[in-house]
Amino acid sequence: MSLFVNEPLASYASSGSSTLFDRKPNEYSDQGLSTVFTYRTDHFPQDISNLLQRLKSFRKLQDNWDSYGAKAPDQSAIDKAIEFIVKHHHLNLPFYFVAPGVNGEILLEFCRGEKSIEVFFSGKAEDEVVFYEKDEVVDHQYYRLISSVGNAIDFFK
Amino acid sequence: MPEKIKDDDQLLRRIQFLHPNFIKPDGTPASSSFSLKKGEDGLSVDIERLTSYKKSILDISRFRLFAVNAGFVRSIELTPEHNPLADNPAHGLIKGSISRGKAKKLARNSVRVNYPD
Repeated sequence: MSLFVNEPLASYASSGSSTLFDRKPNEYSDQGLSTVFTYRTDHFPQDISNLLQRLKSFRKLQDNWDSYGAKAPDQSAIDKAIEFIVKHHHLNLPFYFVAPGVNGEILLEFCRGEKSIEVFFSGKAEDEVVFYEKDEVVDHQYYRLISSVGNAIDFFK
Repeated sequence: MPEKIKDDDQLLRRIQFLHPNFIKPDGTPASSSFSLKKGEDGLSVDIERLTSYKKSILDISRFRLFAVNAGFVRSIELTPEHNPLADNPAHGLIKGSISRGKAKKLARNSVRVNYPD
């Protein structure tokens, strides 16, 4: 099965397991990534498509992109964020914004009313998930994102 | 000679606004714009009264300025300090443990400076 995005065809590398994506032999072995999934963007809602396009644009950022010495985004962190969005965009989660972090991580923010969640995808370190209510941290965890999706859906109910 | 930072001082931080834009739909910057790099001992800012927007913005085609109040910085148990550099006498640092939560508060309480538009 292939998923479809707003460009003719996109291939992204992934080191995680998934049943949602067609797998191909590794085309990015020089980057240490194990598999590649393909999808097209024209079947995604516009807001999700916009997030994916922004993530793609982060690949061009270089060190010191913020003028304060930030590291360029880690390519594998971008891959993880893209795969997470493609895999979970159909769930009842308020996807809101993506941004690079200063240490090469990728921030994905969910927001509904006074509640928000920040997910920090890291290239090598553990991913972080921070839950906020009225800008106060109510939970901060480091764990496999797959186990946090259910918590996130419950949080926004 | 470092100056004392007053509670009503405004501290300026550059935020990229084009290619791509790091300002959220609600007009505030992403919290990652106020996070520390590994090994960094303070968040770089410019003290508004010691500089000009033209100088602080560095590259008008890429950045916009956001101001955070020094009194607010202190209210979340961080310390604004004047840290003049040879090429930037207005340079300052926000020191302390800038957790994810505090970075988000800094971002949410920053105000876009109307310069150049």
